[in-house]
Amino acid sequence: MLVVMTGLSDVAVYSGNEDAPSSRTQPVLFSHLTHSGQEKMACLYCHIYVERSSVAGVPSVQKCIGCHEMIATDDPEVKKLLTYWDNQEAIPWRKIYHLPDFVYFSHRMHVNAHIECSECHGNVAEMEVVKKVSSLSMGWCLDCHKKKEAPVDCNVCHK
Amino acid sequence: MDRRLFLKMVGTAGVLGACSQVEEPVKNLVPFVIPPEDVVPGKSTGYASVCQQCPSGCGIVVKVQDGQAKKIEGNPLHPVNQGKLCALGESALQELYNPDRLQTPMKRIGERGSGQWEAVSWEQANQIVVDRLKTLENNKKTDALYCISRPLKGHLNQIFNAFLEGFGSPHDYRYTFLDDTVLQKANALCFGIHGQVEYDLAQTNYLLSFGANFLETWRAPVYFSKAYGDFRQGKTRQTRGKFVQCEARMSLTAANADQWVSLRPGSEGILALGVAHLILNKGWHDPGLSNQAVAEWRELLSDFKPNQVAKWSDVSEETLLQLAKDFSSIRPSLALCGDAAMAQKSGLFQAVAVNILNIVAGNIGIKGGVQFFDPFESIDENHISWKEIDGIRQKMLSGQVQALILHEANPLFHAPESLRLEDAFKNVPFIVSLSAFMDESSAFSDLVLPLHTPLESFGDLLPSVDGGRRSVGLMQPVVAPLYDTRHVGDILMHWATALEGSVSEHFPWDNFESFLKEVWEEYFFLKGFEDGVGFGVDFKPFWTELLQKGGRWDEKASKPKTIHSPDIPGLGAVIHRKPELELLSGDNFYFIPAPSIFHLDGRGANRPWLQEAPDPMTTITWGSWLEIHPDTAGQLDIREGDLIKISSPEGAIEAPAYLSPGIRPDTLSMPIGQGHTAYGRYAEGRGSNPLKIIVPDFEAETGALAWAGTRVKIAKTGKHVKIAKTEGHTSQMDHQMAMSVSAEEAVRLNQQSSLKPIEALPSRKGVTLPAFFNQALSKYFRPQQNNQANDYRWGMVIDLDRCTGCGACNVSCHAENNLPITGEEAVKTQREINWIRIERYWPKSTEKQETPLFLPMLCQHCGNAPCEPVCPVYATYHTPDGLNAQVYNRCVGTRYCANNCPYEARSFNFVQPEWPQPLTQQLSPDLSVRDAGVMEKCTFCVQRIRTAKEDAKIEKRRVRDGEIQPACVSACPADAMLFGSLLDHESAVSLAASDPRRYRALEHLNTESAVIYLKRIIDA
Repeated sequence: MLVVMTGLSDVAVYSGNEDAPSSRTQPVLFSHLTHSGQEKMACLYCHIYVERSSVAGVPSVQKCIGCHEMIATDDPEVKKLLTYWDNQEAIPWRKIYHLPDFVYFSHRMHVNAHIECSECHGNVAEMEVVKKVSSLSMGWCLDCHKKKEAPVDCNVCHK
Repeated sequence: MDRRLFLKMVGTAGVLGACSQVEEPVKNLVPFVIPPEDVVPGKSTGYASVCQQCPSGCGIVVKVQDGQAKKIEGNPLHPVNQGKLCALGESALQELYNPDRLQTPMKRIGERGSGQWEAVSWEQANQIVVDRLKTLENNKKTDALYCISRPLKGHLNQIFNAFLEGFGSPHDYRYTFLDDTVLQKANALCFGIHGQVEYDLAQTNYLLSFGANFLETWRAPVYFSKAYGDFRQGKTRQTRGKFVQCEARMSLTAANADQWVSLRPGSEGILALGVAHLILNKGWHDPGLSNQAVAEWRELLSDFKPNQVAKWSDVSEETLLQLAKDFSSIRPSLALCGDAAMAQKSGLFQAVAVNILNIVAGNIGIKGGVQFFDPFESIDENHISWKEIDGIRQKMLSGQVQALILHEANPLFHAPESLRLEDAFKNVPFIVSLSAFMDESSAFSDLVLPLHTPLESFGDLLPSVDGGRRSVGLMQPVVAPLYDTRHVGDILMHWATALEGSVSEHFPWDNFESFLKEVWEEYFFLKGFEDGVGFGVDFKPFWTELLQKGGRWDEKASKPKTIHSPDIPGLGAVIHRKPELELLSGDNFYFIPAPSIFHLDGRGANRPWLQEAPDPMTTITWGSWLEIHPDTAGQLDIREGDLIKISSPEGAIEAPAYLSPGIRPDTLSMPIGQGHTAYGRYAEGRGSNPLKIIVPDFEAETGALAWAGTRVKIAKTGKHVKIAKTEGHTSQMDHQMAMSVSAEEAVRLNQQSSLKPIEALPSRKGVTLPAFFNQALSKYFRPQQNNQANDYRWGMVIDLDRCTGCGACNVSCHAENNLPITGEEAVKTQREINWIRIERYWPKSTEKQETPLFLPMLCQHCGNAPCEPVCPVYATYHTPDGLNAQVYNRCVGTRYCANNCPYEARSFNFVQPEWPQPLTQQLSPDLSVRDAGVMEKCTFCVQRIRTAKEDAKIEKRRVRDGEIQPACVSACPADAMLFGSLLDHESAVSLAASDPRRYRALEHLNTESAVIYLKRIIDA
């Protein structure tokens, strides 16, 4: 009935490294340029929880297959995807944006306050491979919170 | 290798090592393959079920996040617990995620009980059982199969019945240590009724309890705690109920009474009849009784003259007269009997005596008295008493028991040593135990088959009480099974199918789930209710609704049954078997094993939360103790921690002494639940088991074990241990932390008070603080500049007159807030971590009052917080909502804040917390898991506040009053705690804060705390 999701609730220790492992390859070379740039797909089409939950959500394999059962099935990367689907396996995507465990961040509150996705994630429509464009440091968060007169109380973000 | 090459290699390795450390470890984001409909990652979903930790049958809602169960709350719709939950119920999560759970079937390879096992597959295990059973079948010895299961109280019972019956064995038994048989027998004798008996505690005005520990272990503690809260301070009540408890050892229940009547153990029934005798002779009895009935009662009770009763029970004649006067004049009144009072050779006499007292005073079938109802369905279970177990033991010894199925029953733990039950077990050729844990009885079997825990299972349960609102709870699995375990119903069905023949015909279902659906469809759907639900509708949505709600129950209580007057002379047989007055001889003591509020009969001992939770009366954790009166201890030169040898004619055990004024000088008491020889790392080898030295006497009529009737001798062993307890001083000296008023004073305060709730509150314009804060001291209120601009000032009101000190808040807090388990050694050095603790203060010897005061102590979220200015790194500070916040990743661990906190509300992580797998799965991702070196404390469950504020913001509204319930408030069985914004003058918490009984702890320190206590009332 329920599937245990790992990753979302991992209890790892913050390493303090600011550099994203953007050079490392993803298990499937997914292109935001193609999907959200050329095909102009809305972010919310795939990241379905962003308005409802603290996490935006990475699309399920089923979601990908919804289109790719028919589209571009010859593409070698899509073939990889189909293999995952055939085996009913989850895709272990590599995380680009990581927050330490002691920080609470809610996509829901930011999206509902009309913060554009691109303000933090950059214009992914132009990225073949997503790069980390914001430091996610506390100073970076606070700059924006102050500018937009959002709360700067410690307890709002520190959990 | 030369030196140069060696250095080169070392150097290269060092560089490589350094490089690899620079790289950030890859973290993965793993989405669903197919997303489940009702799951939103990062958000918790609630699943309704039924608590299986004790037979009460409370409804629960389990919060599940990302497939892991995080927290259990009471089901607010459920008639038994009405949204509340006790410590044992909260700890079901640590049953599910217990590191010592059995993960595969285990087969014994060494001697019986030697602890040598090998893992086998389910196929192998089932084959072994089926082969054994087939052999019995072939030898025409099917009646040599015995089954002892815990009470099932649901339709699972049918599966067991069908299996044993189909196989051809009449020996399908139910066993539990703390059972109701004596009380049921007494009710059958007095009222001719087997239906559900209800004690309407919430609406009674005078409660007289003979040993019934209804706030701890008796019948349904959460139900009775809720009722007790309303009995004291219910909103619809005219007056506060008065409560007197009669027992030899002051239990937690007695500690909440207005008066504790300490009587000679085993004389409860005599005292009850003494009161009844006085009521009859003074003509204070129920005017509804016919003259003939009065004459018959007088005749029946003629032996129980006050002077005789006073001699037997060691209760003065004045007290006896007072009890009789109050019991008959304060209407309605109610008498209860339970626990140690009935665990005597004369148990039935005691229970019948208390029933007679209720009859004579006219408390039967009335509001606030004893009522009887018809349940939806009665499940007939073949309960066995200890006398019958003794019978089975003899059959085992004579070889009549060829195979034994144990289902979550642990008789070996409870069995007195002298019964030598283990020897009998040795004589059974084949024992299979169905259990999630390797308990004592499983450890003595040949094959252990691991079961799902209740949170992974389907099932249903008839509660033990429901206030006349006929109900059945429904259980559903809330998480996927953790290991390769099975549902017990599925196992029995599998065996039946494999056995073929007649037994398999009893099981036409695929699995237990489909069986359960079918019986519910038949019983609740096709038959329908009186209200017509179920007819002409599709079953599937009805079933889904049942699962969502957690069962089926009436919205209103049905009409109590009419009771016919009893056959008075017929009761003579019981009454004339009154216990003889046996005075203690020589250096003997009465010995009362006390069921533990946390471990109950021992089942809770493998949960670290419950081990670490301080016992309410003694504050002792992680072990056993011997309660002894200070005067007795003084005479025998015994000090706290002295290891005492306690010996009965049947054996001896050792336990450290704890001096408590809450026990008679001629009586000793020990908690039941510790002293396990198996049952996992948290339970094993800890403390000692008082049941081992019980003399195996049985109640004559019912065969119940007289576990409170043993006499013991004690001797010092010369050894001394440090007891792991959390209390500092036994009294509060003159500090006035926990405060009380007399009943008269409380009435006077209420009448004189100009603080009528609404009038006393200032308007929203101008002053924004409730009147309470707006007194002279409030000019010091910090931070003042923020008060105008803020939307909320979170505060809490704790009514000490409702608080029973049960400790459910403490365990609920552990579950919600990732509190570490520090262990016995840490508690000994006062390094335990509690965000909320119950302080128990004994009265000073100069005070008239005998019972202690309880005070839940948590961070007071002071307006003028002493901890804040001393933090050198600004890790603790004040939020605009008035919370005193702690930023863990800023904290450097100077501990200045804790030193400066007058309430000792802060705890420091001295050691790195450990959570053996899979306990980590219970940890909440909504707040940090703290490391060693970090200070932590109550946050008012800021994660719940945050969620509520976010929801409100998105819906463009304010947070509703009552929307936020911190974990302690939501659990509190007696409803003693309220949480909300003190700036909202109509909020429940503001209204309660204007009660004239209000005070703040250490108010003279001007901390302007946000926790407001309401004084306990003592009507002595």
